[in-house]
Amino acid sequence: MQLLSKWSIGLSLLFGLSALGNWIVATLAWNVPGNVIGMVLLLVLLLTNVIRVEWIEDSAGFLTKHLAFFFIPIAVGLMSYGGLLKAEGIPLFIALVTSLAVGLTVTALIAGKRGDAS
Amino acid sequence: MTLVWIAITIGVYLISRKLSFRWASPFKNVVFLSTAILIVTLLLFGQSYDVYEPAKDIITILLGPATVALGLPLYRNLPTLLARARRALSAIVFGTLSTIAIAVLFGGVLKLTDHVLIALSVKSVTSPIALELARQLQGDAALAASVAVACGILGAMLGPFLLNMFGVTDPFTRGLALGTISHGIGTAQAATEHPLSGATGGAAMGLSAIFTSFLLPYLLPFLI
Repeated sequence: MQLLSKWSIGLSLLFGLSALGNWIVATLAWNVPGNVIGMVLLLVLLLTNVIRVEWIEDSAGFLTKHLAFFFIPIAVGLMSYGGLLKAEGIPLFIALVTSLAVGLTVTALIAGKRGDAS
Repeated sequence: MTLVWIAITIGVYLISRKLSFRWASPFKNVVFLSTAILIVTLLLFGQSYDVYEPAKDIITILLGPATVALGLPLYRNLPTLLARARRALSAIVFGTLSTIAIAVLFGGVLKLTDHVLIALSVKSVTSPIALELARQLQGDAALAASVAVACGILGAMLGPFLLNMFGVTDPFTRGLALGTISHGIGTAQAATEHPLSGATGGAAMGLSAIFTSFLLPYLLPFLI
């Protein structure tokens, strides 16, 4: 019972913040996606103790643990791009892999290979 | 039928997840495995994506709250992040900038069309954000979301091997790098390596998404 109310409170908060973020972005005509604003709002509300970690930790923990799952249906959408992949697949693949390797190296080099003292 | 496809997706995900704990190969990535199995299944039954799309619409309703939920690991690991804030921030900023610039410039040299270039420019942010950004940039939103997912899968598959090759052992840095280049899918991969990697991955994907969203509308005209 307590678990159920925790889940409904947590999920409602996360849905609410996502909707609020989208509303703010639409109203102020910002060039920032609503979900990101929702994420920042959650961080701020946690820091100011308006939202307590206990309220959302189960639902937020579950959603982030299975984050990969929510991308699968979108990834299946790649099958409708068979034509594009035939025409531009190889250069697209090269551009993706090269940029991934460069971005990864730059990030890792700046952040520190083995961590500084830590 | 939609419910059946949702059930199949959950089943395929759970099986892929089990398999991914067992193998050590770039192909063990959960999203890659599940997607490959689902596409093959659809093709075997002679179905197009239209049949599957209602299931996608329902499952992705949760993607908004799931993205917001990343505020929690961000909050929990704020002290660790703040302790290395300057390095972490510049790593995310320059990592994001370099991967976008290389992708779009390389894509331009390889004569990719503008729609694909816009999709490439938003590839390193999580797909719901990529979708919105591409729409704002007058690109093809569905294509951008797909390229972002492809980028996420490729990064999650190749990233850990590249990091090993470069001798990057620090879990803080590994998570940061995977989250920066491959958003949610990279972060999900990082989380399987080390809890701290999952946390820095979540922070990195969030910050790189904010940074990209603010900057890209101004940066893109110079790249295309």
